[in-house]
Amino acid sequence: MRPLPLTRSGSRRPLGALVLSVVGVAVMAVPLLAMEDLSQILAERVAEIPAEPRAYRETWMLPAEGTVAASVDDTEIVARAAVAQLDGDELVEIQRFRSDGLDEAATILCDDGRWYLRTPMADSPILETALREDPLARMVLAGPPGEAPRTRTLTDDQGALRAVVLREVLDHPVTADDFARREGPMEADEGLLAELRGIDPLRGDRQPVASAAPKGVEEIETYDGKVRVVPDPQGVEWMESFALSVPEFERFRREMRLPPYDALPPVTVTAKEGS
Amino acid sequence: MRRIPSVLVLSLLLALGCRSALNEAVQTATTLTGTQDQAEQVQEKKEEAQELANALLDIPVDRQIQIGREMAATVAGRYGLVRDEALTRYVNLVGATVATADPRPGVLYRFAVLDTDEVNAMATPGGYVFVTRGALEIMEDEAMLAGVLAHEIAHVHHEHITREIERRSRTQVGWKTTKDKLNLEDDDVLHQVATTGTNKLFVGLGREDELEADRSGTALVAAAGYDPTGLRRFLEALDGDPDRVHWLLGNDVHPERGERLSAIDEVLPEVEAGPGVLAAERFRGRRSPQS
Repeated sequence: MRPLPLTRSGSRRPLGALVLSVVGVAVMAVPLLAMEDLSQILAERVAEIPAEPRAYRETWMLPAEGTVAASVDDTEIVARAAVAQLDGDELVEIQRFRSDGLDEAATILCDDGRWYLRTPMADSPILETALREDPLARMVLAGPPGEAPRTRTLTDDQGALRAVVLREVLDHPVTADDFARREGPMEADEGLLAELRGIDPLRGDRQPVASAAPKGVEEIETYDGKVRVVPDPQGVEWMESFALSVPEFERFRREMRLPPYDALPPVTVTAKEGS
Repeated sequence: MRRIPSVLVLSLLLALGCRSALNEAVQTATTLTGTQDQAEQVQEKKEEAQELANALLDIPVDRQIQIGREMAATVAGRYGLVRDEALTRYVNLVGATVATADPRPGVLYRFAVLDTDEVNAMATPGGYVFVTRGALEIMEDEAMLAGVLAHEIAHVHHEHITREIERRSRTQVGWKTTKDKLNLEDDDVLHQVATTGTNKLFVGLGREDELEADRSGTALVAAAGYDPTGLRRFLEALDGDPDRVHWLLGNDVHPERGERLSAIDEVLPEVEAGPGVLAAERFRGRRSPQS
């Protein structure tokens, strides 16, 4: 079992699964790249992939389609991207948010300078797939593969907000295993995909566990003496029915600037609470 | 020649869960008896005892969940659940936020509100966490709720109830010879074990377990981004009404409030990177049942 952030010895600092980037916390305006050819984006990216092993995760927030966002709170959380880098190779997993969950992740592999879209069946040259026309994938891949601030704001030529990106450096020991092809679909709690989701307590894929049926009225010891109780297994089933979706959970944390959203500008309406 | 009652000694040591002492006893017995046969017998007993100890001291996670689920049904039956979807969803969101800071894998936490004026919170193995309506009523902000839930999550993380079940099961369930195993595949045994856990839950965990959960819970809630004084402020807010809060402070099993506050104060200087989020307005808007 891994230790809690701080044990009785008091020697550890709070950490969680993430080590937040110390590169910077200021919001940085970065002109949005024109929708240039994906091959050009990839050529520029491969030249900048660091050699040392490292991993990070980005949360992408965009204005709703057809709208203009005045601030980050007007954007929607649309995707997560997890990136692993090793010896100049790179694995990028992009997972879109739906209103009630997450889409399957798109897995992009850079192997010795060549780019592929990885599926359970094969690795296909990315420029031969539909992903070459995907605006989100192009934006993610156009981002800096090296150092970057915790928060960056992308604007268009007129200065309008087009995207806000949160970056968290992951405490994930990148190895060749992250890049290895797996037989069959990857489990949700495996490798980078788990880091991509980043919310273990919400994982809803655990097999339900059958419970022995309570045996009618129970006599239970309490601090005040013995009491008779009729167990309520239906109550437990009701309790188990509250599966939280990832988008709902992320919106909840962003609203109050709970980590990792503490890197965003303060909430404008309830600034006191966000501070 | 002096004869060591090895089986008795080994059984006693095993009952105390003392593996290093067990090894020491084997060494001592070997030295004192001085015969190879006796040493082999002792070694054999040691291996049997060790095998059983391993079985008892390591209840698998899926069995912990099963036990915890049955205990949760008894908790829900004793008090009743507040069947308010909006409130329960809110408590789940706060709890999940705290739980993200708990690195223990394999626990899917569930949260619910118990329909009682009593000020209380409790958790069963496997991640079933409860807070009472009475406790919500005396809280002022989301950080206080997060602090109480973090305390309960810490109990689950440290497996306090599970360890207590293991200790008590050695004397209550299937403990006749070292050949007996705690057969959790047997529904009746599982039920007995769950009852043992429920009794402990309602009587109260031990002082050290509570203080450990206070320390760890405070660290957890800080890592989750909330004001780390939430649990401390909750304890301070308890008005001492004996009918509502007697379980929390200064009874036979729980430490005095001052001792709990001191435990939290040990941790606070190390986790207070900033003020953290209070979310008082959001809490006030969502705390009360809608129906």
